[in-house]
Amino acid sequence: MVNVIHVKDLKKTFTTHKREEGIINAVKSLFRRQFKIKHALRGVDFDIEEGEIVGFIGPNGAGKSTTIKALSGVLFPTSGTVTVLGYTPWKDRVKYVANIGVVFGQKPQLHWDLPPLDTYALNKVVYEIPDKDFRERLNYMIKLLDVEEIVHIPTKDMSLGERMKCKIINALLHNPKLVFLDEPSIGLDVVAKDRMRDFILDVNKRFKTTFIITTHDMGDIERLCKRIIIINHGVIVYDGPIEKIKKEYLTHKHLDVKFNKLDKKFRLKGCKVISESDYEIKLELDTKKQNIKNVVNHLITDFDVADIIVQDPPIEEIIQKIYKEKQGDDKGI
Amino acid sequence: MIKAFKSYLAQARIGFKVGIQYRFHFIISLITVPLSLVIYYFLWHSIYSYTGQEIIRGFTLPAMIQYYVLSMIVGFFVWCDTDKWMEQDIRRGHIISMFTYPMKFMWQHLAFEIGINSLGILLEMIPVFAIGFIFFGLQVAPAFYFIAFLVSVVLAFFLAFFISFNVGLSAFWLQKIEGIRRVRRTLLLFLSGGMIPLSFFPIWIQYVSHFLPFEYIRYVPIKIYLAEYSVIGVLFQLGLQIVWIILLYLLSQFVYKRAFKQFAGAGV
Repeated sequence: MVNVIHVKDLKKTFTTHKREEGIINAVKSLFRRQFKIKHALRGVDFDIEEGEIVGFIGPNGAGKSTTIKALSGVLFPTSGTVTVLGYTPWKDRVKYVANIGVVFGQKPQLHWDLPPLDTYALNKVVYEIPDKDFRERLNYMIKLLDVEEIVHIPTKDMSLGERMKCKIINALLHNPKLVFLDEPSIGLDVVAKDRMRDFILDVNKRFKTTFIITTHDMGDIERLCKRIIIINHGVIVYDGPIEKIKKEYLTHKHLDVKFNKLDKKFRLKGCKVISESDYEIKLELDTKKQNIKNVVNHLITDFDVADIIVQDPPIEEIIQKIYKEKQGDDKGI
Repeated sequence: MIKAFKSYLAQARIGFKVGIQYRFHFIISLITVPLSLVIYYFLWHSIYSYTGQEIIRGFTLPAMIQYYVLSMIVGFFVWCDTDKWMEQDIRRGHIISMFTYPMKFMWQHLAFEIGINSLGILLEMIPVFAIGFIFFGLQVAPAFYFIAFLVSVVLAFFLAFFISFNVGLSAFWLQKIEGIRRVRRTLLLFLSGGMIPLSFFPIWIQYVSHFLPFEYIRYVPIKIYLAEYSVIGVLFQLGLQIVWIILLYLLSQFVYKRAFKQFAGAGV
């Protein structure tokens, strides 16, 4: 296997201005600024091989974006080594970025005033995409993401989801070896999310493209990634197969059940009732002790159910669990 | 080299297309330009008749009107909003995508600006030349001076671009640079001779202005068209324009390195 990314002991320290709230403090800060040192990354190591799809997750401010930025060449780290496709990303920027594709979910990337097709035509020249490949890939992507009509209208007139799909095409048109997707499912509806995920899997299979995905959407992770890296407070707290996380930490599901009328108490083994009213109960199900199928069956046959929502616990909760366990380990040593 | 050239040509095409999106801006200026020329005509007509002088500060009335026609024509060439685009990119966050794009940052902006201005030149300059010849007594310049004027006006564009680009770079530190942009525009308007010919200013300002880049953006090309320099004088002025371009280019490289460091260091 070929190593695409090698990161060793990556550190980044920022100096930021600290300011108390309130107008008086705002004025004060004009004259005397208080500096605060923030350790965004405290020594991050990982390697990624060709053709992997890796989920890069963590709560807000954990250091995800900082790492992605260092990998895509727009951030100078304080120390450490990063080698991506044989390059040090922040050196020789122009040459390096020709080999990667980047989607920043929250940032504009296409020409605001022009239809995406114009930006794609520019990419064709800049990335030296042969005529035939360009047409083939563009048609294939447009079809798969269902944007035949949309690519003709100026970006500024699009919805968030439409813009996202066009940005994904923009990042993949030159068939890069490595793609960074930063929050790629923002603004997409369920159908579009599904298409986007199928699309990524297909590209990965066909071209052995390596993907690194940061997201808050557990659905993205479960569908796409075999491996996840969890980062918190600037250090990696987990790096391994998602199956392990699922088995060890995704042991609970949250059920939100609405009733036309709730006339008797709900009690079942493995189900903890979190809150209860006349028309709604919230349950936490321990999947080791009880099968989800049994719970739903029981609900439907014995109760007057209006709606059932089943959810995985949010990523933050899982990270908290891992984190607590780690601290326990540290104390044990 | 050829590959890079093709890329920047494609980028210029993008600028051209963005220009087309704002074509109403250009079309409207075809109405506003003759209108403001009419206003200038009446203003100066009354100034000349009030003072009773044939020549004021070296200009006869017809020469003065020619000056304004030429000033507008040069204006289409040297119009440059790079600092505005840069401020917008930084504040909207588009800037990070520019850095993950395999093009050199400054050249990307320059190519874009060339594209957008070439549309302006097509849609505005040629009609205004025609309007000038037909209605405002614009004289045809001698061939040498006309060619020198075209060269000078292209050099003036690069000068205007580098000033604007340098101003735009300050947004990497300041985020909001509306104030600085306004100062840039005002300085350019007055010290390039866009408002009134520089010969109307006090001697010391005229003297200082020789050592500033602004007059080389408008005043000098106009004076070349009006054949107010000797042949050697024209070459000398073109030389000075080139010197300014080199100086401002070097400055922009110096500042750009620091701007990128600022951006990549803070990682916002």
